Amino acid sequence: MSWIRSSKAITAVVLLVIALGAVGTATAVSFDADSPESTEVGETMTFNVEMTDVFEDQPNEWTVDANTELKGATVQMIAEDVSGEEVARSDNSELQVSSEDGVNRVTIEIQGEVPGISSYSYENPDEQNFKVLEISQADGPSIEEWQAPRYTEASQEARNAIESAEDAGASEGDLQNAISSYNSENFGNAQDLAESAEDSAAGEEQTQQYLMFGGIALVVIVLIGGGYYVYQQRQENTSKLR
Amino acid sequence: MGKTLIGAMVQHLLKRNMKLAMIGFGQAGGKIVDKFLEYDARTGSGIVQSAIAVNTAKADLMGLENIPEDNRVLIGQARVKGHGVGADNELGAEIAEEDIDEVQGAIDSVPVHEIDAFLIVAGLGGGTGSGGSPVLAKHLKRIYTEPVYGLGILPGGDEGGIYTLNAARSFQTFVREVDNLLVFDNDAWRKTGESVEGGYDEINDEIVRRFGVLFGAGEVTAGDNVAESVVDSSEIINTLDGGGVSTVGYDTEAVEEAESSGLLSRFKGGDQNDMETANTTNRITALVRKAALGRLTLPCEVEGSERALLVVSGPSEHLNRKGIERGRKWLEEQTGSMEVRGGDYPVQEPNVAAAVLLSGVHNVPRIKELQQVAIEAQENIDEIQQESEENLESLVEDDEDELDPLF
Ligand SMILES: Nc1nc2c(ncn2[C@@H]2O[C@H](COP(=O)(O)OP(=O)(O)OP(=O)(O)O)[C@@H](O)[C@H]2O)c(=O)[nH]1
Ligand SMILES: [Mg+2]
Repeated sequence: MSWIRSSKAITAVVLLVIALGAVGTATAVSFDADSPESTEVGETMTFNVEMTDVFEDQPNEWTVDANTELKGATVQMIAEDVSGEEVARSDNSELQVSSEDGVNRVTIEIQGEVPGISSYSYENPDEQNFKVLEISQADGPSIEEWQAPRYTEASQEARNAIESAEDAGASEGDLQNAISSYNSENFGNAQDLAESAEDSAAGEEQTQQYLMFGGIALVVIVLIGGGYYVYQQRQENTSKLR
Repeated sequence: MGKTLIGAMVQHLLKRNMKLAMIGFGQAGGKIVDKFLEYDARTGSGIVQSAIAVNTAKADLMGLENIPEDNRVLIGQARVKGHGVGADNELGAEIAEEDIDEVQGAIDSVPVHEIDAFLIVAGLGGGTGSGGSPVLAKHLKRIYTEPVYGLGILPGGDEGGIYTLNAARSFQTFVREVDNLLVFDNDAWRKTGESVEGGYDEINDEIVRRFGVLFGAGEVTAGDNVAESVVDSSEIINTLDGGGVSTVGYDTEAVEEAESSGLLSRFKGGDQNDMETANTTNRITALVRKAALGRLTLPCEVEGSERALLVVSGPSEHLNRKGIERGRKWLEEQTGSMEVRGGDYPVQEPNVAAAVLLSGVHNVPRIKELQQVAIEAQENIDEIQQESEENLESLVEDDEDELDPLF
C-alpha cells in the first residue's frame, strides 16, 4: 500500500467517520414494536419486534439473544435480506446473524404466559412491571428491552378502588390504610378500606353539597320572596281610576 | 318647570279636593269607611280627614282594619250588650239617640275647620246603621255648619221584606236629615247567580272607587300639570247643595301613558296634532256617555236630574277642554238641567275615566219599588202580628170563657 493510497484510505475513513457522526442515529440497531400492553397474570401474551440496522455498531456477525420473563415462552426469529428472502431462522432464544448473508431485517415473535407478581407497590406501579423481551448480544451487552405492566384481578380491583377513593377526595389516613393493605397483597381488605374511605368522603361531600344546596335554596327563596314582595308592591293597585 | 311649580302652588291654594270626616254607621258603613281609608293610603288621594266607626256590635268594630281603635265607638252596650240590634232599626235609632254623646266624643277629635263636609255611610237594610245614621245626621246638622252628606246602601232584592222595609223607612228619614243622600243599590250591583254577601268586597271596591274619584277631584300634587279647569271641592258641594238624592255613573278606559312625564310630555301635549286632539275629544265624550248611561250607583232616569257634575280624570296629555266641554253639554241635554258643572282631575296613570254625579234625581223606579215592597211587608207584618195575637188569644182563652184570670 503506497503512502498516497493509504493516505487516501485514511481520508476516506475520516470522511466516513465525519459522515457517520453527522448522521449519528444510524449508529445503533433499530427496533420497531408497539409497546406491550398491561396484561393479567397468567394470560398468554404475544409480542412482535422488527429489528433493522442489524449490524450498526455491532460485529458483522453476532448472535441475537432474546430474553424474557414470560413463562413457557416460545420464540421465533426470522432474518431476511433486502429482498425479503429468509436467510436465517430460529425457534429458540438465539439467532446468529451475519452481514455476509445480507441480513437486513430480523423479526422476533415471542409468546408466553404473563408471570406472577412477586412484589406489589401501589405507589410505584412500575415495580410490578415484568420484562417482556430483552434483546442482547449473546453473552454480551443488552441492546434493547421492553417491559409491560401486569395485574391480577384482585390487585386491579383494589387499585381501582383506591384510585377512585383518591378521586373522591378520601382522607389521607384512610387511603394509607388501603394502600398498605394493597402493598402487602391483602387486596380484599384494601378494596374494602378504599370503598369505605370513598363512602365517608362522599358522605362528607354530600353533607357539603346539602349545605351548599341548602344555601342556594335559601338564596333562591329569599330572591323569590323578595321578587314576590316587589311584585306585590308593584301590583298593589295604586290606581285611582281602576 | 318653575312656572309649573308656582302654578301648582297657586292652584293648591285656590283649589283643593274634598276633605271629609267619614262616619261608618253599622257593619256595612264601617267596612266601607275602612275601605275608603285603604284607597286613600293606596292612591294617595287625601280624601279622608277623619274616619270613625259606630256600631252596636262589638265584633263588627273589631273586624275593621284601618280605622283607628280610638275612633271605633260601641253604642247601646246597656241594651244589646255588644251584640247588634238584629235588624231592628227602630231600636237602632233609639240607641243612637240615647248614646249620641259617645258618638260626639269621637267626633270631638275631628279637626272640623279642616273638613269640607261630613259623610255618614250606612247600610239602610240593617238595624244599627239604618236607624242610627238619620239620628246622627240630625245631630251633626244641629251642631256644625259644614254640610252633612249620607251614603246609603240599599239592600239586595233577595234579602227579604224586613230589610226592604228598614231601607224604605230609613231612606225616607235619612234624605230628610242630610244635605244630600248619595245612594248605592246593592241590588243593581249583585252579580247574577251570586249572593250579595259573597260579592261585598268587589262591590265595596266599586263604591270606594266611584266616590273616591269624585271626592278626590281637585287634589293637586307637586308633579301634576296645571289642568285647564280642575274640579274642586266647591263644585262638588255646589252640585250636592240643594239636597235630594244623588247617584254616580262611571266609566274608564286604558290609554298609553307618555313615556316621560314632566317637561317632555308637556311639550308633546303642546304639540298634539289634530288627529290626536280629535281622538282625545272623542274618547272623553264617549266615556261621559257610557258613564251616564251605564250602571249608576242608584239606577235612575238621567233626565230630570236637577244638577250634575262631570269629572274627567286621566293623564293630562289625554285630557282636553274640548272633550270635557262636549261631555258637559251632552249632560245638559240629557238631564235638561242648566246646572251642569264639569272639569278635569289630572292623575298620572294610564287610564282615562269619567265620573258623572247626578244630584237631585227624581225618576227612580227602584225607590218606588222599594217603597211598594216595604208597604206590602209592613202590611204583612201587621197582619201576621194581628193573626198571631188572635191565635194566641184563641189558644189561651177557653171557648166558653168560663175561666177567670188569676189577677
Ligand atoms: N255594599 C255593601 N253592603 C253591605 C255590606 N254589608 C252589609 N251590607 C248591606 O247592609 C245591610 C245590612 O246592614 P248592616 O250594616 O250589616 O247592619 P247593621 O247596621 O250592622 O245593623 P245590625 O246588624 O242589624 O245591628 C244589608 O242590606 C246588606 O245588603 C257591605 O260590606 N257592602
Ligand atoms: Mg251588624
